[in-house]
Parts: sequence; structure tokens; C-alpha cells
Amino acid sequence: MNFVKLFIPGNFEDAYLYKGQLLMLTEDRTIHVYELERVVELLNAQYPDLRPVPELMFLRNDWLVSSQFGSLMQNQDVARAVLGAFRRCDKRLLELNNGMFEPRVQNLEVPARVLLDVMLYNDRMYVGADTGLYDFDVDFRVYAAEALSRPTKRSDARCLQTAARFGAVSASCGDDGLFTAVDDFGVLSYEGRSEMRKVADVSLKSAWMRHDLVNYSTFTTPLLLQSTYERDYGGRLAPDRTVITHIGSYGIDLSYLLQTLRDARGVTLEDIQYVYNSDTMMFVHTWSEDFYSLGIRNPERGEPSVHSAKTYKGTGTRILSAAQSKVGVVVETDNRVLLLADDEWLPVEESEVISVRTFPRSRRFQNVVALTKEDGLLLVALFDEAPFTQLEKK
Amino acid sequence: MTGGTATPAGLLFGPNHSGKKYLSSYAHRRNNPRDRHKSHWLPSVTPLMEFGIFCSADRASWRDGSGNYWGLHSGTRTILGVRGERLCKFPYTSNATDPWHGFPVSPLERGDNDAPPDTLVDDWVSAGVISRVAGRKIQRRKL
Repeated sequence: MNFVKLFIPGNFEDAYLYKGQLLMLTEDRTIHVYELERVVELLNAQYPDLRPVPELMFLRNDWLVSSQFGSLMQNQDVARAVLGAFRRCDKRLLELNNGMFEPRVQNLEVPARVLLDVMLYNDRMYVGADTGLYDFDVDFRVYAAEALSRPTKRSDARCLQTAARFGAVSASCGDDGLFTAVDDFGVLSYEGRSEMRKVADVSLKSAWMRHDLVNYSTFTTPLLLQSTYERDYGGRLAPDRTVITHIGSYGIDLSYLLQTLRDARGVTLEDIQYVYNSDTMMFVHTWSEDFYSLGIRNPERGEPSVHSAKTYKGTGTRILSAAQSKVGVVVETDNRVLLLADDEWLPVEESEVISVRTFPRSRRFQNVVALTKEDGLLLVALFDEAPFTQLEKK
Repeated sequence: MTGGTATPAGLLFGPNHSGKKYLSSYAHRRNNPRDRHKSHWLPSVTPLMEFGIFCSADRASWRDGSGNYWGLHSGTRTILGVRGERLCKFPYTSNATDPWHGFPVSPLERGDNDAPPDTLVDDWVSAGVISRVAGRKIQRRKL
């Protein structure tokens, strides 16, 4: 696995990659926007021997899995040159020279003391803060995206985390509960934002499992909130093709999925330290320092079931958050960030961080991890060269 | 400070500089099935150290609106509880003559109830008691 790292110094609270742009929220409540194309141009000028790696890693991850790239890499000379450039980059920290790099700076007009979460969906930025959930639309058609409107307050409760998909948005607000709004872009109703509705009493986070939303009242107690949805014929939510019409019509306590670990491996519910789910997987970390991945089948009708389970050695410390990337699960622990890939834990960063973000549903940034640290932003791009090493040697 | 006076409920310390007495409660120390839902101090955090953390919180007035004190050690780098807790809470004692007591807490495990208020966390960051990273982790319920 190759790790290419780009560091941008500053006092940031969080960062997000979206539509070719890097958006960073600062401690003084501004948004710094960088065009990644410009960043890559500067990196190419500063590190000419590393071409084409900056472009492949920070701008066009999709090219790495394209048939054109595979075809070019069939040529032994090309494979050697490209893999050589990757190895020259590996574990090296790239930095842009000061003064080369001017972001567009805008005020983040969210009246809050603490910023807790950020996400971008369908050209709308959602910001979770101590004073509630806010959103505003952003114009990504212009050079260095700009906000189109002042933030709209969506809920009053302190919003720890937000998730959006299929035209719906959720706000996890701790002891105040989980709030959701459906058809938030007026695809079906042709109206504006809809009202947020409380669907659970406590929520520390929520995560999608296909069309359903999994609420975590603690980080070890998943509750599946089943949804109903309709097809989006207009394509306004692309790449989503459906619009959720209701969330929480039926709740299923997913602890029974974790019981399969008790039956098969003797894991008690008290031993579970952290649970995380994606569309098709559930990851479980225990105090006994084991890490399990469960393959989940979530049918349209009926209850989810486990169809496969795999055991890994644990991280040796608490997991604080987890996120899916194209090459594996990225987990944040007390003192470092790790990637589980090819059955082993690989260090992504050897320090504690403020936030970890991955972009598995993006087109161009599926291999990038954005780590907000005390003194700046670290973008880590991941490349598994294993499929290509034989081409280099043939 | 001495090693405390043994009582049926725990080791009693104090009074401290502000006149408060402190009980290092056995319920947060012993692995008694009756207390399995309580958080427990790590053995490496001695009762005397526990009292010291309380005194630091009292001296600096690390209090929330309900009068509870919140504590930590070495900028949250010291693990205080058996489940990785790095913060502790000393719940408000309504009777001024009663001793205070405390226990490890984890916003990661138990959410809002185990988290000090944002204003106190910001004060800790401003005063250099904890790093900005540790502060955000508490506020985002990840510590």
C-alpha cells in the first residue's frame, strides 16, 4: 500500500472534498476553498519527479481503476515509471510552498461556539454545531465554490453528526434525539426544505444501511430505522436514484446481529467497544481486542441477517470513529489513525486527530482520507500497487 | 495529604483547601457484581491521586451549571478508568457537610451525560489544560 501525504498548515476544524474542491472550516469561522486542479498544478511544479502521482492521488482517483489506466500499465516501461513515481512519494510528506497557495476565503455565517460536524450532499453544505443544524447551498460551477445563501437553521438541538442521502438528512443530537427530514430538495413535493422530525430519543451517530438509517444511541447499540422510498425520475439527486419518503416507520434493534458473535465466538455484548456499519457490512471492535467484520444482508422486506463473518486482531486501543474508503476501513483510535486493508492494520497517521473523513461515494476521491490535526490538514491518498507489481516485472 | 481514613463506604480524605471532604468510594474501585454498571478507576490511579484530581478541579472551579466538578490528569493523556476513560466527574453534593465522590466518565461510551459543558472545555483549551484536539474530541463525544 502506498501512502501519499499532503500537508496544509492552519487551524482547521474540519475539511471536505467535493466536486474537485477542498473545503476547510477554520477555527475563526471561515471556509477556505481550494481548487484541487490548482493544488495539483503547484505540486507538479514543485515536485516534477513525482508526476503523475499528485494528479492520480489528489484529483482523479477514478483514473486508477479505469480500463485506460489498466491498459497503459500493461506496458512494462509505463508500469515501471508510474510505480517508481509512487514509490518516490510513499510516506513522504508533500507541502506546498507558502505564498503559492491562495484559497477563496468566505465567512461561515453559522452562529455557533463549537462546530461539530460538516457534510456536503447535492451541492448543499450541512453544518452541525452546538446551536443546532444549519445548511446552505453552494455553487460549485464557479472557480473556488461559493455559498449561495446564508445558512438556514434546521434544528435547535446541539447537532453532533449529520448524514444525508436519497434526499433525506439526519441530525444526531445526543440526549435530544435523532431528527430527520425527507425530500429535502423538493424532488417529490416541489417545495423547499421539509421540517425535521424526531425519530429516536437519543443519538450519538447515524449511518445508512442502503435506504435504511441505523441510529446509535450509544456507539454499541445499533437500531435500524426502516424507510420507504420512491424512484427519482428527474435525476435531481444523482447519483442517488431514489427519494426517501419516510424514515422510522419501523425500528429493529440490531443487537441480535451482534448476538451471532456471541454464539459463534463467545463475544458478550458487554465486551463490545465500538460498532460501525456501512451499506453491507457491520464492524465490531471488542475490549478483548478483536475486530470483526460481518457481511449484512438487508432485504427490502424482513429483517437484516449476517451472511458472513471474519475476525481480525484488534487495534490494541479504543476505536473512536470509523469510516469506509475504497481500499479498506479507516479507524481513528486514541493516538493514531489506522487502515484495515488486506487483513492487516496499516498506520495512516501516528498522532491524534480532530476528524477523519473519507469519501467512498465520491467519484474522484474514493482513496483519499482527510485528517484534521492540531496544526493543519493532512490529505492522505492511498494506492494499492499489488495488482500492478507483476506487470512491472513480467 | 495522607492515605485517607477507611470507612465502610471508602477512603475518606480532607478537608481540602476549601473545606471539602472527599470519599474515594469502594463502589468505583471494587469489582462487585452489584456495582457492575458503575465505572471503575484504574488501579494505577490511586485513591490519593483521585483526591488530588478532585482538589485540582475544586481549586480551578471546573464546574458545570449544576454544580458538578469535572476533572482530568495530564491533559487527558492519563487513562483514568478501566474502560479507557480519560475524564472524571464529581457529582454535586447538596449537603455541604457530606463528602464529595467521583468516578471516571467517557463521552464516547455514554454520550452527553458523561461530557462536561462546551464552555468548560473551551476554557480548558484556552488555558492550555488540554490540546485543541482533545477539546474537540470531548465536544464531539469521541474521548
